[in-house]
Amino acid sequence: MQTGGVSNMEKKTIILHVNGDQYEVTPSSTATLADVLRDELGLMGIRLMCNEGACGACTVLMDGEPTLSCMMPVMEAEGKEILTIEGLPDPVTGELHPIQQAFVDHNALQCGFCTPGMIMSAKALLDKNPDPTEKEIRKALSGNICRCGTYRKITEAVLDAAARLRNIKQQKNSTEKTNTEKSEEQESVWSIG
Amino acid sequence: MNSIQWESAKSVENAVQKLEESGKKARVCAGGTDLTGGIKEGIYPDGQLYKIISLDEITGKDSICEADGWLRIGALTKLEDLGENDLINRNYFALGEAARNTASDHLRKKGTIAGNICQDNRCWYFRAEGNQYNCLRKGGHYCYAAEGENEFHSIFGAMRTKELPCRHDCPSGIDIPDYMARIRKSDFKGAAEILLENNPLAAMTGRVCPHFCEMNCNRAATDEAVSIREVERYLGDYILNHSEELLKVPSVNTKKKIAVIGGGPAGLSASFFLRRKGHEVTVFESQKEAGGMLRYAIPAYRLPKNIVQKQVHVLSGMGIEIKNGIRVGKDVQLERIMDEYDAVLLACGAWKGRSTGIKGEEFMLSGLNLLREIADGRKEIPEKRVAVLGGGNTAMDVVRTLKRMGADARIIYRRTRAEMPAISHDVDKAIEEGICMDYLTQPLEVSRNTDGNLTLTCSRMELGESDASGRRRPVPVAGSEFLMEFDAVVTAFGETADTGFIEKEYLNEKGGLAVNDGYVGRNLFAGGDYVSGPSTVTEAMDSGKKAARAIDAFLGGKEEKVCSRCIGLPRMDEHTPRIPYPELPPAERTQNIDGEDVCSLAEREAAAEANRCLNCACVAVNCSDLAPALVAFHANIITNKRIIPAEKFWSVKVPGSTALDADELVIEIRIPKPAEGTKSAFLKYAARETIDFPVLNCAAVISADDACICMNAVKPVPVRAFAAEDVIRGKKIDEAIAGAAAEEAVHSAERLENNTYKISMAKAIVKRTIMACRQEA
Repeated sequence: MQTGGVSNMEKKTIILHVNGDQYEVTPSSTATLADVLRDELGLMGIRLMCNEGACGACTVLMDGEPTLSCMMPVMEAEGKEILTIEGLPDPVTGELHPIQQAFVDHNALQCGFCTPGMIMSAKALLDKNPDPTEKEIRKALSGNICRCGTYRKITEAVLDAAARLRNIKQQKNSTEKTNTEKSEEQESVWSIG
Repeated sequence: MNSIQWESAKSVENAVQKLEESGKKARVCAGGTDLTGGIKEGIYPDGQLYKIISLDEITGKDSICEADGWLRIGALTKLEDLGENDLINRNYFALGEAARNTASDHLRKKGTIAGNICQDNRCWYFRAEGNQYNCLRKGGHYCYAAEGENEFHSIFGAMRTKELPCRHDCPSGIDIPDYMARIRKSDFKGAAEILLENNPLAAMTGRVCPHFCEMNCNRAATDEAVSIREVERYLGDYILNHSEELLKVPSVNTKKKIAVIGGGPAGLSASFFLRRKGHEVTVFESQKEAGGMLRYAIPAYRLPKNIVQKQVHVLSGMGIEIKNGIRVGKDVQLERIMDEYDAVLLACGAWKGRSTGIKGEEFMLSGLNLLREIADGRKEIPEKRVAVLGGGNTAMDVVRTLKRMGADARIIYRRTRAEMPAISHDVDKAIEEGICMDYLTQPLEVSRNTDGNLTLTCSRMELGESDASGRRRPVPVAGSEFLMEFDAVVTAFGETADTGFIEKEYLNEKGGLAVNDGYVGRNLFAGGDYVSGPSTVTEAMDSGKKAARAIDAFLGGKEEKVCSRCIGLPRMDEHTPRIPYPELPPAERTQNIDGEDVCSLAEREAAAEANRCLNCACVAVNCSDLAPALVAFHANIITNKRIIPAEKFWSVKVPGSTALDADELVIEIRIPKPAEGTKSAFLKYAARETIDFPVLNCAAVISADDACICMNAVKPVPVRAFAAEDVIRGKKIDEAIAGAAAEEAVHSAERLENNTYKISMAKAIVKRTIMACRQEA
């Protein structure tokens, strides 16, 4: 990691909560969350592009808020719930999260480099606002740059994902009356963050 | 190598305590984006940052409410909350708009209002990876952007940091480039006024100061350092010739009486600064005339006596009373003066001879006494072969004076040229004038021989280990003693303060004065060589200034801070050589006793030399989006120490971009509730939306009878557009009025090489912001 004029001699062990698991790490004091997630936990879904907080490719959720992990000192992430793109699919079946599936179905990517960041920003939005307007989606994703220019398809994918999630929730609510247990299982998979 | 520690503060008090404990080497993290960027880029030099104090755990400092006619915003309020707050969007629209336009959606969720207003500047030289450019804002000496890539930089001139090489190296901290800039505009009076803020004796220092200010002048990288000394001398003479305008009797009278004991550089300087404050000042001078070393030690060829007399005369013209021929301790007792005056300053210089440790002191003459006699009119010296012992300024003055009086005088000095404490320039002059220097020669004994002449026994020396002064200690070469014969031996080893007339309670165990930052006790202060021992005129003068400040504070006065002036942009001229100063050739100098060796420059020459000054200053811009909105709303920034009006919050302090001290934290922002019907707007232009540091932004707050317009990213600090405000105040806004106001807003703009576009852009953005205020209605 580039640390320029300062070195990282003093190291402190911290606990990170990532995708529902706990990790004990001893990062350099100047490391960013992105550095640790990629280099120590091997979570390569965190993309480093601009590395200066401009492109959004490194977006993860921290306590549910979209966060640029390249600009987040790892020391500030201690004790926070961190969700990365790797935490979205069903851990048992590997089934994609509805937002991921919507991106696939709508071809909302070309090179795919920005996609994890886009999806995480979309997840943060839809968790709070299940039925966003196109304008609200554009605003929520305004911190994520796609160099291939697939913005239109991304917006469509997020709108569709919102509908799918609403649909799932509706189904869940109706099934709840008959089979509470099953719906809870389904919910838990998609609400890790 | 340094490491960074992370600590979490539990409360504001806890954070302040941690900052205090860390000296100036800790920073707080109030969101982290700016700090993380800086750490990644490696812009904090080794040793500047070793601790980061996270404010993440502090609670209760992120609320927004209206109370008692103020909008109160907690320092840790997130930008997103600010942008989405109904109260703000109803009554303080421009502030909400500024928050919504800061960075990206993600960063607004992390960034805080205090973090935004405290962020470092975005100049790419400042931010260059690995701290490549040690620019002015890092405590360096040069602004790289002034000459380099500057398309996003200032259009309203540059600002000076304290670290400018000339000002930094000047013992008096004189704003040299500021007076140079005035001279370039042919404003000699304005230039003189700037000089007088720190130097009341410029005609003296312009002649005798060693001019440390020229040592690191940035101009030297192109050709040669600016001849600051000659320009200062010109201004010094200008002040003497225009004293009625520049050195007036003060308009206030505090009725406080101050006695200054000693009329040398320190005493005169203190008298000047005290008199300016309106105090009644009386100088007690033991000699027939005031001036101290200026009058009685420095020879006339360096500083003519009529100039010293004129200097004293113009100072007494301000109403400073000078009582000559009164020796305190003999003619009047110090205790009595202390009883009769509100404050007393001891500035009696260092005139008392010291034991030399050389045998046969009774055969030796005092160099200072000799100079004093010559200054008093002595014209001849019977002795022909004279040894001058020492390597300091007095030694050089004595030896050169003796040479001019026809003696064959030489310097005997125990170390080498490199260790000589004398001003190097004066040593050069002495050598030019044919004076012999016996280096590495230690005088051991003076005795009178059978012919009636003096025999000086010396030992050869060699340099050993460094001593406490950092100079290599001379050690005798065994068996190297030798004899020299002279008609006279003169000592010039440096003198000491005479504390014989001071009450014991004010002395330390060694018999010296016990001084604490210029304060001695009761109403007694001390300054100049009397405290420091022999120094330069400039250092003594500065000591007098500081003593005056201490006395004024003691008498209840308030310190006036001179704001950083911003006069034009840094500049780079074609190669122009330093002006040669008009000096007599060495052969004529050695015949010259009463006249000056060097003449003053003509006005045209002084102006040409001032034109060589590069006007060094920082051209980075402040990049905060909230700053112009806070200025336009007349916000106050509340810290753990004080209340700072937004207009005075930003600065070019090193390190940082605010007026905050190292242990000071922003706690709250308060904005007075605007008048009914007030409209506000904020507009911004940025290169890309997500990383959008402003290329330019502007906030306007307009009510029925008032208007406040502030631009940012146009100068190192936000810029109020006062002239534009005058155009629209109280008027119905239309296209024509807004256009006229925008013209006024950029009237004084100055382009750098690559940013001409910013001036037209500023004009457009001011106009549109004003029009947006109308639309907001």
